[in-house]
Amino acid sequence: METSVATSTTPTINALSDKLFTEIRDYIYDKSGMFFADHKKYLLENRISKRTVELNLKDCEEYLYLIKYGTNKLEELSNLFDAITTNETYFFRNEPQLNAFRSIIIPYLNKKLVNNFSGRAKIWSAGCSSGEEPYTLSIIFKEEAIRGIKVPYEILATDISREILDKAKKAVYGKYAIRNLTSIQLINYFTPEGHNHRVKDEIRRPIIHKIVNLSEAHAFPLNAKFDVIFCRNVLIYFDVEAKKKVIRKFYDLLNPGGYLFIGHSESLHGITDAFKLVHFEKALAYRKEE
Amino acid sequence: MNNTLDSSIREKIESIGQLPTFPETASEVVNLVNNSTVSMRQISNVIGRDPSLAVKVLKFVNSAFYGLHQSVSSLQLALVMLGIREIRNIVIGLSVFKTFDHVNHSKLFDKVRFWQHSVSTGQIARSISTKLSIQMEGEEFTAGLLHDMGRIVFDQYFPEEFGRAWKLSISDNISLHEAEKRELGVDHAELGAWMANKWNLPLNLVDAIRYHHSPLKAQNGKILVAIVSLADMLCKIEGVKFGGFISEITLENSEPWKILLKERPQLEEMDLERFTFELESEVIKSFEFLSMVGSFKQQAEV
Repeated sequence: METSVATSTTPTINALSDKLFTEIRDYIYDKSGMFFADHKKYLLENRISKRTVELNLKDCEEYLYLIKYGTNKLEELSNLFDAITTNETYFFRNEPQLNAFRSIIIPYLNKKLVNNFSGRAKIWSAGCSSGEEPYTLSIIFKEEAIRGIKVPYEILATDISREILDKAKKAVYGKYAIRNLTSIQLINYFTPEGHNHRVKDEIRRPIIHKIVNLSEAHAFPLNAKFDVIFCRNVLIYFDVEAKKKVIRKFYDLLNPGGYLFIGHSESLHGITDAFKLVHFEKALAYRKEE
Repeated sequence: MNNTLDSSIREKIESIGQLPTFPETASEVVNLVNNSTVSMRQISNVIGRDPSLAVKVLKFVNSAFYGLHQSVSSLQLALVMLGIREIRNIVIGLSVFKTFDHVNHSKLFDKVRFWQHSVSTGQIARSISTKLSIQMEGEEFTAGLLHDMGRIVFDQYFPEEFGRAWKLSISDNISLHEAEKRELGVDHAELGAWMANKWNLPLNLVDAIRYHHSPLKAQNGKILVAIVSLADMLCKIEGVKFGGFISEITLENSEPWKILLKERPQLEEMDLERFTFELESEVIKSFEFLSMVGSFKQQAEV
């Protein structure tokens, strides 16, 4: 008798019921454009249970109430997105998008530039964080050049934070960041530095770092046009209006036929009609018409 | 009905003699359903004569695929709940599956991947018809399941040429069906339809097989063909594919999309991104089907 009373008063976090999962999933999709498929329920469940405990809430239902109606709802949504996307990034994150970049977009750029001797492909890594993404793209260009598909390129890597950009410029990475790299890539494109690895100059050289605040789309300090823009896991923090502004700007800054990649489970549905949605194997992108 | 096949291919296939045969029970069910006065009792009697088929039909009806709230314990009840056509389509699907299940394949032919692609295409076809509220009575699932069956016949009778086509598709970054045409003169769609026609399968299914790469050409059941064709593309997009190179796909510009848009203008407003994300879960669900039928139990669970 006593034990059962004791268990019933122990704070336990209810597992997410299917109905509640659907409700929270749809709310997050509405607010951020990020979608949790049914088989990713556990992921959302983990993060939400964690936040529910941290905030001392009764259950996940109360958490939904908080992100919907709480006074700090926006801040809490940000916290949740941080927890969901894991702020730490790494080389070759989300392979299907990068495979499409390698096997479809690089050959396209190669063809496009074939008669243009001074031309360069221009790539923008918008929200590049500590730099793994732009260096990854640079490695892919080099690897493809070795296979004979040569494309001269320039990568603009921007972030809102000076501190994180300094880290990107330093180009020194630990174990976590390099876990997806093959040993051949490590040997070819990195020099060991103690327990860490520094990106070689040939990979760094085509990259320009710059501070850009994406929420000030009207005043981007950029005048170049791009062939591909990567802006992954950044827009989920923007509200609909801010998102529309930055997407319109991306559209203007893309060359005809240019591509925009956002996070692999992010969507711009309802944000823009300007682009064509294109599908690759396990990845999608938005394309400006040629 | 146009059922010609490149004569050299046909001669070769026919000279081998031992073509896969369609199970008698299933043929009988197909013929019965063509007859408008057939009763449910007649159908359930015929299916009941093949107990292993009857068990599989019930297992399938009770699986997550239908998500029925009550368990269906008899063929009669299954017929009442799902209707004669839907049960016929299940019987066709399961029977074709059985026909090819014990076939020995060449080394290149990855049987598990082949059936994963087929079943997932069926499952996605069903998601599309549901999403667009198009009544298909299971035809879309069965058509998805069968759409590539010509490839099994290729692998059986022309393993060398098929192997060359396979390699060509990889070396030249072209689709496997394009490579088949170059190496064999016909593609799997043509061959599969020829086979389906020989088996007297319903014309809608024959056309869905024949035109799943070119639905605008279909004469019978264009909507069904378009659904299977779109499902086939989406299945490849989901990464469940059988060989070949997947290039960039703009669904909006594709033939099946145009056909379906005409039929259902609301397609224009559809959240295609979300639909794509949702299909990931559908594909995972469809692998359950494989462990339920056929001899895949272990392999399919990997």
